[in-house]
Amino acid sequence: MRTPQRSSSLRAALCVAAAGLLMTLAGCERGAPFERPPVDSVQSGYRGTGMLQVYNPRIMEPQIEANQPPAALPPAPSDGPKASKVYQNVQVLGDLSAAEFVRHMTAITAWVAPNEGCVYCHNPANFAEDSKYTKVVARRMIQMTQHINVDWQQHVSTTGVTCYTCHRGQAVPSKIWFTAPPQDKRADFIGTKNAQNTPDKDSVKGASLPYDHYTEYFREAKPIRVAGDTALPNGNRSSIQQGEFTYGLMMHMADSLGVNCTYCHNSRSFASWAESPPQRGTAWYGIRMVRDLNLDYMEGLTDVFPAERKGVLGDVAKVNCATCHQGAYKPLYGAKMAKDHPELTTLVQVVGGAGAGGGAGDAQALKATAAAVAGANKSAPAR
Amino acid sequence: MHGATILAVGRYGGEREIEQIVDRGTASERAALFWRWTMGFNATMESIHRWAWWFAVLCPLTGGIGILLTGTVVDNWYLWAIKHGVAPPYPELWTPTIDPAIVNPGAK
Repeated sequence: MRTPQRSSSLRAALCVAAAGLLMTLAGCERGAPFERPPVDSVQSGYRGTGMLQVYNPRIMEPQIEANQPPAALPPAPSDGPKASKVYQNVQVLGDLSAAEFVRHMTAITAWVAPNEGCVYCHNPANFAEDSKYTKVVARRMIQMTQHINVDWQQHVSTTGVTCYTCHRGQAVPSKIWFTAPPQDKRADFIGTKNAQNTPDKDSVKGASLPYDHYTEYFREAKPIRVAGDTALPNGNRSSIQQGEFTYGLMMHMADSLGVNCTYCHNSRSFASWAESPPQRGTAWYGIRMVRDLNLDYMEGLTDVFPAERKGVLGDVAKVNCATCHQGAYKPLYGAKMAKDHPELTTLVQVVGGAGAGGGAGDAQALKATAAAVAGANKSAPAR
Repeated sequence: MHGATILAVGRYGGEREIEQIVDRGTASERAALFWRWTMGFNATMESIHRWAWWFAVLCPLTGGIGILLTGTVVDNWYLWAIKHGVAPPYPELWTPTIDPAIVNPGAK
């Protein structure tokens, strides 16, 4: 028979235990490895092999709501004079009709700077001039969007992307990254953390993994595959830390897409391609796409961006999986926004400016405008 | 597992485990039932703790053997298991994915 004293002491002990558990859960909230049941699970592979996707309806509901595309603007007539004839200094979208061009400018304002309006990029006294850095960046970003939609269909398929895929009504996309500064050691008696064991870094979300895996894989092309590809030892010298870098990348991908490991991998051998779901191939191209965009588009704008838009080391904001995906397995849950904007699904070489043509010409033209913008930034305080 | 058992039978006085060892009560009986129903372990107070003692000893031993073998004798346990017929083949549910690194030679 239980006495009242025993019952109350047990209750007190359980209360302490429950409070501790709640604190643990609250501490893990950022990375959300623990979620309150019940959750839905969807089988995606052979029975009994753990090939499951786990969805928490209480998390999915606001997540789906936050990832709805805006309504498309009504299409504009494609006849009439070309934008390049009506407006000055139209380098990328000059082949559009003036009406289509205005439609695109209206859309881009709503996508990127809905509060600031046209003047976020344009000088109200002269819309054609490139004095604001934002206009130079925006032009390059339009080219980048075209490049993604044309050259990276292995990742974006025909769904494609628009400015909204990343920007979501914000001038600076919410999910961007900068190269992490080296440890501030100050003195030799402070241990070397070896760029890890810093769980408060956003990139690792509470884990002790190396936290600059973005630089390793989304800027440099460090090897991601670390597991041996033969049953018996055959000279694979990959270190445990290399494995942890890979793990950090995989955690980032799973977190960015809101999926489990088994969305792309087979539960019994993550390395085996033959048994992997087809999504893994799409993801492989995604990693290369992100690296390509960072090297060819974002870093090319280093001189254009003012200091307050750059990281601690003076590097530009760069993209990763989360920049577009934002927690959805397909950005905006696969909404086909780009089909309403054919100007973003064709590749246009820059005309006019300092260097005509594509590739090296683009870079040359960019350097010239970057120098001009840098001058303008010095004279007027940038936003 | 020990803590969970004690908590699970807490309402029968499980937290007074020492007392239950010398003077078996409802908590012991319930703990035995708990192990029988959840783990399929039809145990007495003695046998469950003998089992747990060996479990505690063998875990680091077998783990240590695994650490010593990995990278020295076997590098990839999955491929090793395939080679020796340990891992069974599963039915294909989708067309086997081709490694894009083979399709794009030289890609990093």
